Amino acid sequence: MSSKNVAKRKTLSALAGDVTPRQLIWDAIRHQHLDDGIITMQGIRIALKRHPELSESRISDYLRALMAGGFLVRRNPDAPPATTAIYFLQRDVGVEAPRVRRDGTLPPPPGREQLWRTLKIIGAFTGQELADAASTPQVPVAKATADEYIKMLSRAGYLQTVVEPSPGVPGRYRLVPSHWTGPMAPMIRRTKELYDPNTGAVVYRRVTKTEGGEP
Amino acid sequence: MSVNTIVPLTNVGLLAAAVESAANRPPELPGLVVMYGPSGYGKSLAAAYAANMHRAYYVECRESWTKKAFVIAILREMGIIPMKTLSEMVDQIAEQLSRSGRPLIIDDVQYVIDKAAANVLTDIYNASQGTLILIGEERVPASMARLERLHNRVLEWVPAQAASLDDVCALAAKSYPDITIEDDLLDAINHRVKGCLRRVAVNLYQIHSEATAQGWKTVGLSEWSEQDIHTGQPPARRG
Repeated sequence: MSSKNVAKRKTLSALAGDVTPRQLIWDAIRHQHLDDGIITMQGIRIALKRHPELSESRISDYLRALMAGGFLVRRNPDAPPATTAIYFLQRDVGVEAPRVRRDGTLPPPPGREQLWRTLKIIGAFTGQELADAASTPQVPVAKATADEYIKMLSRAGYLQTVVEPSPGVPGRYRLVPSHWTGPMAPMIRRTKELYDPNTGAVVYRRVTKTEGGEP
Repeated sequence: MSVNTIVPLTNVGLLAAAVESAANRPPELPGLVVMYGPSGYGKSLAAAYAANMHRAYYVECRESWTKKAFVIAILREMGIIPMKTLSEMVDQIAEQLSRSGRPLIIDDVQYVIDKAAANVLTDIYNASQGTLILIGEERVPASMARLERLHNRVLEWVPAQAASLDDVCALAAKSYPDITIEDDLLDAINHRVKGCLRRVAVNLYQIHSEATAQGWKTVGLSEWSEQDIHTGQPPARRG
């Protein structure tokens, strides 16, 4: 390949939205892979120098998981101790950082991701219908999970109510098209707030009333 | 009920099987799957299931789309920030498809298949050699016949089937477990709406509302006459 050609191809797609620590590390690996194919811890740390919160142990945890999953390969496994470890990107699976466990296995996709994908596809739905359509044999989604997700999304203004729920009749909902913010599913946090990773914003927060009025 | 079972609808199974075989095809075979059929046959439900099984990317086409709008919509679905030119964007899509191995589902493809955007589709397929699933109305195969380069890359044609009595029973049992709707009525409904699953759902909804109001536990043809079946036709004038 001529040098001109190499220069022309030095662009990588970037992921939109909130970038997780793993995504930052994955991006750094892909950039080094494109540059000269030599991936080192030092190179990753230089690429992430704007993120001092990412400690070396966090990076090496992910590198170890990627190696266990066969994504990364150590180039100089027989090098003596205290030699810089050099890695090679064996399996480049695209812009999205692989969700890989420490032992290298891949966890099933979260049910939330399936709910978010499904509600865009099927139009209007009740909680039961959404749970059915979002279920796969590997990742079944319970009706209660779908109901809770619908409740949070409608409070955040992401869903419009087509049929108001009443006793005996389940409510029907539909995604407001302008509120499809991206492919990452908004997540319910433990504090009962809804966080949208596509925009990086908390879109709904449950207001808790203090007993006996505000102090 | 804590765990959900999947409603075994015919079209869901058909598309799932086709996508499965396309995703695991030997590399020398083409990777296009086309599902076509009238609206209301449950194609989108089938798409949702296939998308969840394979973490597929999903875009729904619009009539007004130009080439660029089409390409930007796919990139948005992938969560990738689009580059400047059209060809760069097609490269971005193709690269992501072939690297990730995730299929791309394009629904309502009849809106783009007759336009210039159809050539983008061919480009994406050629550059990625990925798995592409096109879903559209009845005339999609005819429109595709004019796009020779795309047409001969189809691995499987999947015509959407009209709802069977099993489909209708499964839908009724799943949607309204609190009442029993008898087979004679379900069969009559399915016959009258000619297997259109969306109209079946409308009828089931009306029957359920009435049954709740009247306190019926089972509904058959004796309670619900054939005239009450909603077929989408406006009522004829009388007198």
